[in-house]
Amino acid sequence: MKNMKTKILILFLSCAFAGCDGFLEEQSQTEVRPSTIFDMEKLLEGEAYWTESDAVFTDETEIFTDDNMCNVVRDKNTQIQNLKEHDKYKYIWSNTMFNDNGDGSSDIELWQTPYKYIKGANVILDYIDDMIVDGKEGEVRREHLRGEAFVLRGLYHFYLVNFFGLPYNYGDPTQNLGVPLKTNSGVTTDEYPKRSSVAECYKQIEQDLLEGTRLMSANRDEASTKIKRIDYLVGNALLSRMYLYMENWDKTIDYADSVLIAQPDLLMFSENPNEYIYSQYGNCEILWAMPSTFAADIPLVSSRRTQYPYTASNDLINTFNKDLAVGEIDLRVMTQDEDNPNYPGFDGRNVTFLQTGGETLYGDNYTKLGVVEYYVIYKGYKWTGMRTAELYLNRAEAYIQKYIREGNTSDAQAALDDLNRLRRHRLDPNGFTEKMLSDYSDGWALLEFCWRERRRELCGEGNHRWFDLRRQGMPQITHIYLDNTGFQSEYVLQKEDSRYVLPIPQNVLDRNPDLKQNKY
Amino acid sequence: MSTNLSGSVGKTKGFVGTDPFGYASKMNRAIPAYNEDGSRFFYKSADNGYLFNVENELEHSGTENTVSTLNANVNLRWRITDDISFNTSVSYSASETNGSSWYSERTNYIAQKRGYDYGAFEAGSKEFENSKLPNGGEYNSSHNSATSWNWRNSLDWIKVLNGVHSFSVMLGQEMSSTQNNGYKLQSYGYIPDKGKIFVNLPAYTQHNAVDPPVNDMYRTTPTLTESESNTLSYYLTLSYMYDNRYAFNASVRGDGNNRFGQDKKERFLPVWACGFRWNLGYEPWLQGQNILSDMSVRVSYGYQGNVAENVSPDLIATIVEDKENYDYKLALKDLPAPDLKWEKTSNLNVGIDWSFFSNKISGSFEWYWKKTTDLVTELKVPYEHGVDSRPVNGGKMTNTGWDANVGFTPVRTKNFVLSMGLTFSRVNNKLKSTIEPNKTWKEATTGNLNKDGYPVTSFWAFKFTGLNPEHGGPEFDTEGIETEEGLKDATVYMAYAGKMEPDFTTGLTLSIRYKTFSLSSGLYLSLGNQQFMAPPMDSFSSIPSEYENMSTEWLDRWRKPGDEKYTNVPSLPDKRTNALKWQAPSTEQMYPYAMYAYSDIRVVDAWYIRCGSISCSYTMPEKFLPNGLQNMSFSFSLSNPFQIRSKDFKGRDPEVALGGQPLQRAISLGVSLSF
Repeated sequence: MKNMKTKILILFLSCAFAGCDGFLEEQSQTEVRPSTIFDMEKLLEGEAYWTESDAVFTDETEIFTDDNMCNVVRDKNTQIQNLKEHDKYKYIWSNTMFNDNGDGSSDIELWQTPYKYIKGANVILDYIDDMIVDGKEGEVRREHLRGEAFVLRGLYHFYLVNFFGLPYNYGDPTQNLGVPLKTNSGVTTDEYPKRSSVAECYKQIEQDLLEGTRLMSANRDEASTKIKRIDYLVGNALLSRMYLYMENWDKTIDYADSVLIAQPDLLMFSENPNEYIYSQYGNCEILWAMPSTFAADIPLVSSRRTQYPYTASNDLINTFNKDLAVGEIDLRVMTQDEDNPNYPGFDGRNVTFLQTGGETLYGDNYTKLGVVEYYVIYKGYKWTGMRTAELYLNRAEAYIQKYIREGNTSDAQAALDDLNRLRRHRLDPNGFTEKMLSDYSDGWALLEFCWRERRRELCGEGNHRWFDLRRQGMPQITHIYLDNTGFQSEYVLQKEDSRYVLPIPQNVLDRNPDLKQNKY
Repeated sequence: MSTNLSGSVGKTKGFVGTDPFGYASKMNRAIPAYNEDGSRFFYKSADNGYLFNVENELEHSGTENTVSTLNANVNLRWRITDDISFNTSVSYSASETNGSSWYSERTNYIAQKRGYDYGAFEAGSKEFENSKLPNGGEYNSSHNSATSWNWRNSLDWIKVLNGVHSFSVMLGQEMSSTQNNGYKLQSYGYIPDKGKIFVNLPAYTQHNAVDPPVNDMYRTTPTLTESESNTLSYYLTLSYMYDNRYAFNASVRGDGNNRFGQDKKERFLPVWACGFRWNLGYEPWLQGQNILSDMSVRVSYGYQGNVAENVSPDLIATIVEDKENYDYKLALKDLPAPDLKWEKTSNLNVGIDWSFFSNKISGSFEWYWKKTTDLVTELKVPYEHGVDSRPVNGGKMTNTGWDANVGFTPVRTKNFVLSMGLTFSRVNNKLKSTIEPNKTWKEATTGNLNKDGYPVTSFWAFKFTGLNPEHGGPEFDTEGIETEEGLKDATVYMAYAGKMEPDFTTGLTLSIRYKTFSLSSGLYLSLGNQQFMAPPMDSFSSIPSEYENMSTEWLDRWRKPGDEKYTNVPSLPDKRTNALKWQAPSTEQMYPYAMYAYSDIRVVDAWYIRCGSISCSYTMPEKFLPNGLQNMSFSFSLSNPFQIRSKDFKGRDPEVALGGQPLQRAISLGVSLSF
């Protein structure tokens, strides 16, 4: 009996201890250890591509530009009223605009969001070699993902250096301060990142974009054709943009060529009135569809119902009329011009960028002075992106710059070919006339025309106007602010004003004592 | 063998959203609750501009929770031989919670979601057509079930040799598992008083728009949670006692669990301890006298390691929803921390228990010392790293303190017992950290800023110098703020205000029993800490709204030039003059009224003497009981009868001045009868 009892006891105890391994196996509802290339791809989508809610940094700089004006005196809707007061500090280029906006909040997204996604790209780059690869297909996919991570990292650093550093073509970029470069995901807590010079930043960006594009070009696969992911064409387009900012005209042209050879199409506005220029499904022009915020509080880009208090400026609207020959109609804008009965007015055309708001603005809701109707820019519901139109503009500008320096009329003609091609797709074919070289007195007049066309085409998206103003000589801009009684105050951003460089937010400086603020 | 089975079911109903007590203390008394005709008075809420009445809000919203639990356990003890015995015990418990909270369409909360006040617009109007929630309110339901079981086995061996040496060894193992399952859903369109039905919502709002946005309240999805956590532990205890006088023991224990992402090498980290005890009461030279009836001395030392819970040495990702692509994607849980070491704690306890005069006076004293090295703290890192903070091994912390208690039973007879007890304790905390945190003024006022040479929980306050004679705004002495050191360390220009944790606490209990009547009470004293009073106003930059209630200290405020000689209460904040943001040299902006709320005149000494309760009870002696009644007793108790606090509060209720609710006083009376 005793034996039996001891046997039972031993059996019991061994059961108790044997169930160990299975019992203690890791368990979690939502956590996983990434181990395959497919996991890395999902992690890239989650951590290196930004989401709609983080997309504010892609067009937040519109409020600083001359495309924007204040046209609300007082709004009964408290949300709009608060927005007007909150964004006033940005509108008047206050050099503490991010620190405290009268309500105790601080906006650090322009700094924090790109670095957050840089971390995501770095994590992919640091860990992708540890993943299990599934044959040749897996290798191709892996290299493509690596390329995507490089290009994204380059893009984020590009945004950062253009927000917080002087333009590349101003002064000495090897001396001007840029932003800290982050090229690995690890964090050491005893060292603080320092600001690299503008030249060093561009060098890193160039390296990342070149390497990323090379990898993607050599490893094309199915997944890379998704419109929401980048591929080698997007990499080349970004290189074209970067070289334009660096004023390397030849390379701008080369990279624009490499994209336009593969995808030269532009959307013909007259034939596609119901298609938005940007959407998540893409169209013949879109290279990459990027998420964008659709909140009422994005400058310029708002729905026709909610009126963001800073909307399209008269200056921008008038630019659309400037280069029109008699009888030409620009389908990118709806304007009410009593002198021209051919103007279609608002007819629900989706493809138009600049549209009038639907409600008249008298009465209880708004008290406004001056502008009766307001204009908003509407390019697509929650989507923005990169498209071939930009490359035509890049190439045209580069050709004109070369023409100015070298005098070859073939360059000028090549530029006009690009600009005419773009305009043919944007203007109503009835009345469209091509521009000729003889229309311009010299290369500078041609350049001004190109810059105006660029402003019209790329208004309200991708921080283009602010970045272009910076590299086009930082001209003087005036903003008129309407306070709650309608009193107008004028604020001027001088030519080459130090405030063309955004101030680093105080909360960011507090965390890093080695970070120096820009000089004002 | 013994078994036990028990269960319980409980239901609670309460309020949701507006907290009645918070509302009562913050609301302006001049706002009526009823109109002259008796109907409820509604006013436009300052938060969202829609009509609000607190009774209406409470009547049309609420929560309800039902909790049922079941517990069972079985214990078995088997004596294998004379010396060895085996114990096993299994317990199981299951609990289920069903909860719901709801807001009907008449509440202000729903008015905000609907976009207009209840009844303001009819069906067919533009506002109705464009509303996301034209009819109905909100209903939140949740359901949680948790089951857990626990199985413990132990083997004991006890042997006594020669009547003097006694050995005992205990080996044990424990397994436990807890599973949790939860379900939560938020639904709209709920009408509680019409059959509890859910009405439909429009799928799109603004249907005239070219691209009408989808109503985000139209489709709501539940949140499911599921988790299982298992632990396996082992322990071993060895002890030896000589002649009931000298005892030695040692024990070791290890635990492993199935937490995701842990470093497998760090499982089952042992915790070990050893100790010694000397029972002087049994020493021959102490026998036969009445003065020192008993005494024992004990010493123990232990060591343990602690792994940080939320950190993993490997790359861990979580699965999240990808709204735009109708798919899922992975998000990083956190960057890996492979170099993080686990915290190590060693502690030493020394204690003495004693009693004098046949246990008329007894007491104990214990001194402890605890040292933790490689403390894991979250350090805020620059935003350039893409993360907010990183866990680091941040230094050492040493805690020492002592605890003493004394009890007196001066009288103990059959009919009368009088006993008193006194406990004291004092804590001493020193922190030595190798991490330099950011010493901004905000950190310095919270008690979380650890500066070398200052005790843990030290805090600093601005030096208030008086009021401005022109506009009555508060003024401060911030000498040192423009220096290089002052830019990095706010304590350079702030005054040391004390520490937030008390130095010394003591409690006194008293009980008297005379025949069947007993009375007991307790007093508690805490000394040595300071606190900020709650800020005197909600907004630091503008005059409070007409809906807000304000503290009576504002009656003494500065009103005209010259008042600054008589009062320290500043004038009401005015954006243009006294509440103007002050540009500090470091481009950090400070609001004068925020600085006032955290200045040295708002610091109070937080000592108190509090009486916890007074209670008495009386049991009717048997001879007075009528027939049929077996027992009858009465009890009375009064909780929080009084409290004495420092004069710094100037007559205000200290709990409210510190930002809390006043202490509840409760009187209860009870009768118990048994037949």
